[in-house]
Formats: sequence, C-alpha cells, structure tokens
Amino acid sequence: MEVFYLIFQQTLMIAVAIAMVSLGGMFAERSGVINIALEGIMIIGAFFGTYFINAIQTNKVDMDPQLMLIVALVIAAIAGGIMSLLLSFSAVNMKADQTIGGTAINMMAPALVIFIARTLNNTKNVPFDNTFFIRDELFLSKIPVIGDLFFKNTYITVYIGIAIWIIATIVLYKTKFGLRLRSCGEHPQAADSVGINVYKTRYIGTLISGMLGGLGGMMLIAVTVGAYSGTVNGYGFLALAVMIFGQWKPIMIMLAAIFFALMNTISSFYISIPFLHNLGLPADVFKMLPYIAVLIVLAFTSKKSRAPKAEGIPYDKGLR
Amino acid sequence: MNKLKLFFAAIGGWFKKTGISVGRWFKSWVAETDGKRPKFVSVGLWFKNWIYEVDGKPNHFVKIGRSIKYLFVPYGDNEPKLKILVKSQGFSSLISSVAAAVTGLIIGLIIMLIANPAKAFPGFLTLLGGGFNNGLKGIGDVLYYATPIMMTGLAVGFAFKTGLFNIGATGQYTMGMFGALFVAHNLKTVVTGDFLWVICILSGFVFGMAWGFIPGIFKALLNVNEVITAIMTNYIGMYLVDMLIKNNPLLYDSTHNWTNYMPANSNLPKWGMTTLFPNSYANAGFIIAIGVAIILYIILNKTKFGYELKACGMNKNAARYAGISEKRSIILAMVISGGLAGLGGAIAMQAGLKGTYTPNNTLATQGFDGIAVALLGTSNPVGIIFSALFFAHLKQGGFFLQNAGFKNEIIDVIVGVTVYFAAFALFFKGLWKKLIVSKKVKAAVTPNEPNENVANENSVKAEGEDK
Repeated sequence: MEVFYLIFQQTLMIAVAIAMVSLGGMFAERSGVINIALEGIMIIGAFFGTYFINAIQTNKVDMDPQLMLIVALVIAAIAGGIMSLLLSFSAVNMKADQTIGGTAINMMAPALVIFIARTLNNTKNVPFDNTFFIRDELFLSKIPVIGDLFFKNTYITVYIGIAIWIIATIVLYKTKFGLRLRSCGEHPQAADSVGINVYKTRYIGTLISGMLGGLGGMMLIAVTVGAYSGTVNGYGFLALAVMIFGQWKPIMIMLAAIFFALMNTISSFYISIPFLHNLGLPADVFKMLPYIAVLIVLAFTSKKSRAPKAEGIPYDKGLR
Repeated sequence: MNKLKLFFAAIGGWFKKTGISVGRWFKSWVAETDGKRPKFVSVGLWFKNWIYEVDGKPNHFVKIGRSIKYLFVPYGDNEPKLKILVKSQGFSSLISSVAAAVTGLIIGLIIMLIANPAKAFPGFLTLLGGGFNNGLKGIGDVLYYATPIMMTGLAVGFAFKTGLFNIGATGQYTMGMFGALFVAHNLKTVVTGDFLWVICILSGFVFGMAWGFIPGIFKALLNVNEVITAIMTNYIGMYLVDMLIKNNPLLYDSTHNWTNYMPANSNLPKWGMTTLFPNSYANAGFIIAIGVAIILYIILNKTKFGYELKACGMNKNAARYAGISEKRSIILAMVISGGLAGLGGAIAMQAGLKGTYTPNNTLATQGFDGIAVALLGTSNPVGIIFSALFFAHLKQGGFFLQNAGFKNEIIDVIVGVTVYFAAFALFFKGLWKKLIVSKKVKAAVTPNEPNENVANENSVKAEGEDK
C-alpha cells in the first residue's frame, strides 16, 4: 500500500505539471497557432523560477517556503509569457511558418539559459533546496484514504494546478472569450466577419499558452529535481502529445496527462515496485516507456483526431 | 497466384525495357539514332568548336565573351542577365538568408555587449574570424565540423522539399552512429581490408533509414503529425542506443563509460584533405557530403522521382489527382531523409579521431543544428553546403571565443536567432522586392515606353502571387 500511495502522489504532481503545459498548448492551438515552442518556454520559465529560489536561498532571505514557491511560479509564468510573444510575433505579424518559429525558440531557449547561468555562476546548474515539500503538515492528511492520496508527500503546485485546470475549463467553454478563441482556431475568416479581432485573440491565446508553459516548466522542475540544468527532457513535446491524445479538450487532457505521468513515475520508480524490478530489464527500457506510450497512443487515436481546423495557417485578412 | 504472375511479368517487362534502352544508349555512341549524330562525333565537334565555327555557331571563346557581355548589356528585348538574376526567386532567397544570418550576428553582439561590454568587440571579431583564427588547420577543421551538420541539414532540407518536417534527424543521426559502430566492431576480425569503412558508412545509412521509416509510416498510414512522432523517435533512439551499447561488452568500455574506439581500418580515408590542410581533422567525409549534395540536387531537380516528391510537398491533393501515390512519397522521403542523417552519423563516427560514443542519455545536437542549416540554406542542397560551412565557422569561432572570456553557448543563441529570422523569409523577400523591383517600375515610367511599364507591373504581380 505504501508503494501505491507513493506512485499515486508522484503521478499526481507530475500529471499536474504536464497538464499545465498541455493546457497551454491547447489555448494556443484553439486560437489557431501551433505552439511547438512549449519545450523552450518551459525551459525559460523553469530557469527564471529556479533562479529566483536560488537567489532567495543563497542570500538567506527570510521567506515562507510556500510563498517563495508561489512567487517563483508567477515569475516562471511571466517569463514564459514574454518568450511566447516571440512566437506570436512571428506567427501572427510576420505570418511565418509556426513550426519553424517554434523550433527557433526551442533552440534559443536552452542556449540562452545556459549562457546566462554560466556567465553569472560559471556553472550551468542552478541548485536549490527543496524546502517547500509538504510531508504531513496539512490537517486534512488525517482523513483515512483521501488524506494519504492527496494531502501527504505533496507540493502546493498540485492544488494550484488543479485550480488552474478548473478555471481553464470554465474559460474555454463558459465565457465569451473562450468562444471567440475557439472560433479563431476553427474559422478565423468567419470570426473576423462578425467583428472578432483575430490577431489580438491569437496573441492572447499564445500568451496564455506561454504563461501556462512557463508555469508547468517550473512545476515540473520543483517536484522532480534539486538542481536545474537547462533542460526539461522533452516534456514540452510530451505535453503536445498529451494534448493530441486529449483531443484538445481540458478534461481529456487531464486524464491523458495522468496516464503519461504514470508511465513516467513507473520509469523513475520501477526499482521500488517489486514486480517490475524483478523483470530485470535495463533502466533505459523504463526511460523509453513514456515516449513509446506516446507513439502507441497516437497510432490509435489519430484517425479520429479533432484538431482545430485553422491551426498552423497564418491568418491573412486579404483572403477573407 | 494470378497476382504473382503479374508481379513477375512486371519485373520481366522492366528488365526488357531497361535492357532495350541501355542497348540504344550504347548504340547511340557509334550510330545515328533518332536523327541525332553519333555521340563520338558530337564530342569531337565540341572540342573542334573551341577553335572553329561549327554548324554556323561561333567558337566557345566568343560565346563565353558574349554571355559575360550580356550580364551587363541588354540582349535584344531582354534585360541584362545580372538584373534578371537579382530579381530572381533564388537570389531573393539568398538575400533573405543573409539578412537572417546578419540579424542573428547583430543580436549575438548585443548579448555580448550586455554580458561583458569591454571585451565584446574583440570577442565578436574572434567569432567572425572563426576557423581562420587557426590558419590552414582551422579551415580544415571547419570542413570537418561542417560535414555532420551538412548531412543532417541535407536530411532535413530534403524532407522540407517534400513537405515534411524531419525534426527526428537527431535520432536518425544517433542510429547511424550506432550502425557504423556496431558493424565495425562486429566485422573488424572478419573484414581486415581497408574497405571496411564503406560497409560501415552504408550500415549507418541503413540504420538511419530504418529510424526515418517510423515517422514516415505513421504519417502516411495513420496521419499522425510527423513532428511529434519524430521527436518521440529521437528519445527512443537515444535510450535504445545507450541500452544496446551498455549491454554489449564488445562495444562498451565500462571503465570510461564510452564505447571502444572505432577500428583503424573503419576510419574514412583522407583523399588528400590533410595534404591541403596540414594537421587538421579534415577527411574524405567532406567530399562525400558534397557528392551527396550534388546527387540530391540532381534527384530533386532533374528526375521524375524528385518531381513527384516535390509535387506531394507543394500540394498533396493536386499530386494525388495527377496519379502520384502520396503515401509512397511520404514514406520514401522520410526513409531517404533518415538515411542521410544516419550517413552523417556514420561519417562523424568514422572521422578517424578515435571515434567513440558516450551513452549518457543526451540527445545529439547535430540533428537540431541540421534544422538550422536547412532553414538558412532554404532547403536547397547547394545553399545547405554554404550554410553548414557558415555554422561550422561560427562554432569554430565560439571555440576561440572561450579564450576571450565568453561562454561558447553564445553560438547556439546566435544559431537560434538566425533560425528565428530565417522563418521570416517571406518578409525579407517582400522587402527585397520592394527595394529592387518597385524601383524598376518607377524607373520604367517614362513617356515613350508605356508598354514596358505595363509588362513590368504584370511581372511584379505574378511574382507577388508566387508567395
């Protein structure tokens, strides 16, 4: 049972981080912009977030650890948002190929991050102390099973993430903005003809995407490693696959994220799971697992893919 | 059974057809065919043409002189060739690439100024100097570093031409490295001759092809976006190779955590490169890469197969309507692209510098550099040769930049910025047209030449629609 709780808790915190990035991808694609730059945006967000924590901790500023993490998340979101403006500028204003613009950001981000880190500290690692881990402090953890599942060995990011997920679902389906966003991704010409500013909506969609991407990057780094080294191991791309698997719908995306997070948890915790450990497979097999799962899942779900119709096509007013 | 018969009949027919056409080709050298002179006679006449008039055509020197003249002087109703060239599509691509590279360099300079204002300008000059900082050896080393990214660039560019984005070059490159490594170590006791390198290079090609096949088949049969699958195959390939190496004592040197060095006879020959560039790492790989670029140029521009692939890339519905199998084209394009990246990996592995692979769970960067190379070279094989040389030159500059007190990641930032601006090709091309072509239109508005004015405007419109 201990192992089960461990896997569940671990899965949940990674799932929330992946889901944030996937929701980010969803907001961009629903507005009609393919955001393949999520990997780079995560890297940027995670860097500025961890750098803030590092600065607070090395200067021994007295700050509540949870508050510190929240501020770091906000900084990460802002950094990601700013980075995403590069993408929207190239995709919306310059009508450039969105995949290429995104790839450029993916190439720039790790180089920029490592360059800054090495120029400031002479090492590419940004270490930080994990003081914000919630072991058993919450009074809710006394509830028999639910306490063990949700309120022990966790991070505040899980609750923030779930709150954002609910808000995102409401925004997408129940607000005027959400409707406009979706219309720009499906048929921008029609949206424009009823007075919606397609360029502005796409800018906002990509901005939200970047903010969620940066936030997700910081969440992922906060819950997995103790030192940031300028990489998120392809989780940005994994999140895009999660988004496709989740059919561009928030609720499905969360389920898909949980599935992939489980794969990831298995790959990093297989040693403590007796059944898997006894198989005697090399560690690399388990590391491959999430990526192979993506391939298999895509093979089965792609036929009924419900991608936004206008994604990836620059909007040209002249073609209306 | 019937199908089998048809299949063999088709094969038989193919051999017959090919046999006949080969026979005719040989015959055409000595006898008149299709009303044309025997080829031997034509060759002889061509040599004669250097001095004498043939068929009423002036000799070659006069022709060359004229074509140089017409570069600058109008020929009949046509504009001077140089003007036509400046206005051509290819030239505006070149301009947009140069603009992207210059912008990347300027932003790199700005970042250097922010990081360390005092050393920024000398550092920037070192960066621009690139391989030349180290004389002939430096130039040879630039060629050596350019080779793998030229191959991955050709791989990505070939896929771009066929409408596919092969971001999986990294995985295919790793697979190619593994192919060369695996075959070399397994055959080193069997094949002792100097030709082992050929087998290794070919196996790298085949391994890369196999890895390119996966995204290809996913795209063709299941309609999965090749970008996502290719990225997944990057990671799977990397972990797979690491695993295969670590569990194979023939390959793995566990004390150093890298593989055993490539056997000496599997290393590429030099083909005179070290004579040209003494002490450098340059080797036959560069010449092979140039050869591959030329072959690709011919395939893409001069063959029916290349035409089909390009047609699928431009408009797959139109291609299908014209009777081209788009599924076949997608799979073949990805397989060839993967093979090219794998070839790059094999060449890098066999470069002769104690080739080894470190299985430490990191993606090879050459694949991503290949994307940059292809974009800056506008997917044109010839453009890719030059853009690979440019990036290799920068990387060499970055190496010397470290002595000047900068971190060499600045190079990757510049590469990223360059790619970002290379995506603006349309914008830069539009700007170029505005600057050059519209000026022509204004100049042409003279009272006595109204017709030309109209013609020029039409041509502007037509070019505008090209976009």
